[in-house]
Amino acid sequence: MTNGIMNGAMNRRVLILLGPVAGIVMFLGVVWMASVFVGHNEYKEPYRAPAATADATPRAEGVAAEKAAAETKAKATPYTEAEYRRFPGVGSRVAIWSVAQLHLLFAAFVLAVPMFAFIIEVIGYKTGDERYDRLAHEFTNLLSVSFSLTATFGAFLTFMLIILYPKFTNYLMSVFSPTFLPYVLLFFFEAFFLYTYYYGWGKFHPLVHLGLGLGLNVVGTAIMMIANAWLTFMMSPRGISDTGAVLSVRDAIFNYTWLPINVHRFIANIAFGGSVAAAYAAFKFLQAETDEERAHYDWMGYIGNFVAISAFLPLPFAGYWLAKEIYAFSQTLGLTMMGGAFSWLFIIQAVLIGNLFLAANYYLWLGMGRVEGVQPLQKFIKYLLIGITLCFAVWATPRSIIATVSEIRAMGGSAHPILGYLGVMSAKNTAVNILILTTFMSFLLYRRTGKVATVAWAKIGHAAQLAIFATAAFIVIFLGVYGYFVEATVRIRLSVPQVSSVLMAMVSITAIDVFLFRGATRTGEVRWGRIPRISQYVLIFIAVTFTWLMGLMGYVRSGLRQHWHVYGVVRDTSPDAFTPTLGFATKVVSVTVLEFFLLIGVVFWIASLHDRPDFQRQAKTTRRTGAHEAELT
Amino acid sequence: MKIPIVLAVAVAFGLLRFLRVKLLIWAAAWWIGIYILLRFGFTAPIPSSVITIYMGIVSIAILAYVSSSQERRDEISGPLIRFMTEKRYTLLLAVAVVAIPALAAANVYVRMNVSIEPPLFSRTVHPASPADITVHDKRIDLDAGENPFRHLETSNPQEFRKHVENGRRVYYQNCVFCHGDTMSANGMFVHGLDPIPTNFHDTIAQLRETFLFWRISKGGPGLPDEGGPWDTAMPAWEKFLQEDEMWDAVLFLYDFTGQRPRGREEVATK
Repeated sequence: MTNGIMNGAMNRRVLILLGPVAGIVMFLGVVWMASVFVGHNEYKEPYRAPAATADATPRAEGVAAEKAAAETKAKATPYTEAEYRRFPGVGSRVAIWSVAQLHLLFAAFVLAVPMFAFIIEVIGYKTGDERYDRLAHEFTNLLSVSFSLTATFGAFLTFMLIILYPKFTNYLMSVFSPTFLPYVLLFFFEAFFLYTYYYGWGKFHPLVHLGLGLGLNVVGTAIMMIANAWLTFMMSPRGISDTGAVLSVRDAIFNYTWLPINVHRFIANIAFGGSVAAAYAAFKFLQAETDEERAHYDWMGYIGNFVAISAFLPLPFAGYWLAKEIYAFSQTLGLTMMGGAFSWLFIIQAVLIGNLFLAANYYLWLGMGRVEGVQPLQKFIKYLLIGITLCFAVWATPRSIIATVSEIRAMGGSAHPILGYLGVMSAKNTAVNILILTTFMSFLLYRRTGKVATVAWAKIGHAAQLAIFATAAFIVIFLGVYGYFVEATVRIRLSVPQVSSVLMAMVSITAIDVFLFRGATRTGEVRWGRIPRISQYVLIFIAVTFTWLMGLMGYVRSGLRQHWHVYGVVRDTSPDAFTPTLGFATKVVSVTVLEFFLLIGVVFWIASLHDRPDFQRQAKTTRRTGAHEAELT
Repeated sequence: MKIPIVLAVAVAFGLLRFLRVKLLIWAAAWWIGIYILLRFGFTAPIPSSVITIYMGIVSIAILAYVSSSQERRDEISGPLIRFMTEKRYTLLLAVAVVAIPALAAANVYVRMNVSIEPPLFSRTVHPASPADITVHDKRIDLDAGENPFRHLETSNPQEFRKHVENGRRVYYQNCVFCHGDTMSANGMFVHGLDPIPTNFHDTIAQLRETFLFWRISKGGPGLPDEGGPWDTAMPAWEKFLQEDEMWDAVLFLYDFTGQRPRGREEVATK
């Protein structure tokens, strides 16, 4: 038996050796065959007498003179700087687009995970619950590989810009030259904080470690803000003359859309990080084999999603501010965005965000199933769903409707007499606010499942919460309707009280809820892991949709410039200076998102190697077990 | 809304409530009821592209509801499983197996069997204007520019009215034939035009006066690509009118419809 095992091992070694040997032999064979083929079949000039012995014919003299003239001309060619170079196959624009998008997605992830980990670690420190600390540490496992990939894509993007758009890149570098050294310096700090945060887990006092996490986030955000200055300058330039000469670098940095982009990206990064973290947990949940694992990853997915949705709720307002600034900077850009070539992308955006809201609510409703016993709050789901569906439909109603000629005639114009009212900002703002309120109510219902308030003022508390909710909804709808009767600039300003009333309602209802359910009676325990598997696919759906949205809206922001590198100042004269069709744009974004998730899958896999048993030990254990079994037989 | 259709759907829902039907029937009823309302319940029919968006949302919402708890999942899947596994439903199952592809085929037939008409097109109603245009050798800044006579509304109302009246003259001498007496896109030539002209009552409040000036002066030939297919009959009025006449016409459009032009937003970070 032992001999048999030994022979088996020998056979394996022989096979392992045989593989490379066979590969080399095959390679040599192919080289030999190719050389024989070329040698036998290549065209050969017929024999001619050597040039020196042959008489110079007028043709031969002419050919020689032509060759000499070409050589002289080639030597005298002056050096000229290339304006553009062409990327083979897909073209320069798509190549830059994909690389920039991948760089941005990884950068967002690398900025988002520390934010997420820091928030979770703070919760763990405050509550003393070690599960949070472990959760935060688990996510930072993903950081080092992602950081390397981000830097690699950053370098890739820089090289691509220099190769494909040398003149424009040179211009951008000359405008922002004072920002590059601080940028590099911040990268050093980022690396320092990132690695000390990761490797120093549990090695420092918790507050020192939290300080490192805070440093990591501050430096990461500063890096993002510098990069934002470059890209926002391209869209809304400032601090330069009409011909592009730099007048003030400070103004170029603090351009019109810089601040709204910073805020928008900061919030979106938290939402993005939370959603990818939740998708990671969902992936692990679906792979889990024990109830303990399922419980852990269910909880992890819930926390990730909670952070993502919490950040997602104020995101539409940040986006609205950005859109307002774009409109204020240039009416043309605003119209291109909301009423022109890109307006249909906003309908796609509305459909995606509507689906995100629906998915977030659906996940909470499914989560009620974790709680044992009867769930009387389930009966409210249908009313929440009606509200969400109505708001979703309003948001997705297009202003420029696609219609046949007969449909347009039947409607009496290009705008529908009723739906036309839903296609404008008043209706859409109202719908978003009500969607946010409804999602918040779903969260409250989830939070209350399996609990009964026991405080003496419970009834009054419930009534007060309901009254606040109703008041906020009334204010939002009233101002939405009022918006139809005032001019656009006033209507835009109405969004501020709408948002404020929603935020006030959320804060005050949460405050009441905390006290209302203090010492509440439990009617059933929460069983983590007891949730249908479809919920995990919902988490993955949310992460993919977030990423897709980032790609799509990134394209809108960048594509708005149309045939300008720097809007109104530096014109794009390359062959790609046209706006692609929406279908083409969505395909490029979709492929890039797919590439990102493939790469993030590699990141997850590399991160999981850390937990694998050591190879040698594993091999020894297997061998020992094999030998033991052999002895027994 | 077409009241009889709305009432019929409401009565059908009331009947289902009275019969206390199961969740599966309710889900189907909601889907069909909403489709009937959208397809037939509006006096001005809703274009099929919008119905598709709405029904997509409704379908997702109904699926989300029926699968949102274990009880609902059981309630919805139970009858379906019984229908597919119990012997007494074999004949019905066979009918369903034949009916599903037959319905798909019927749908294809209905969709193909339509009268020949131009295809759907995604014409952008308000294409973006360029940053500036040149009219009668004068550069007009569409971003930062204003109607040169708008300030008279407060500073010299009498003079302002003169410009509005001049705009009225310009409109009724040139524009009325297509845009109509009441500016509702119902002029006498409208039946020969595709797309039909703009109805000023429902669009101009969202636009700045410079945008209207651009559309009037440059007309169909000045439309950017996204405003296509290039088939609007709007002439480039700069060839027939003076600059002041076009600004006056813009004043008159807002005055007649009772709308205010969109103002210029202030940049917060300036």
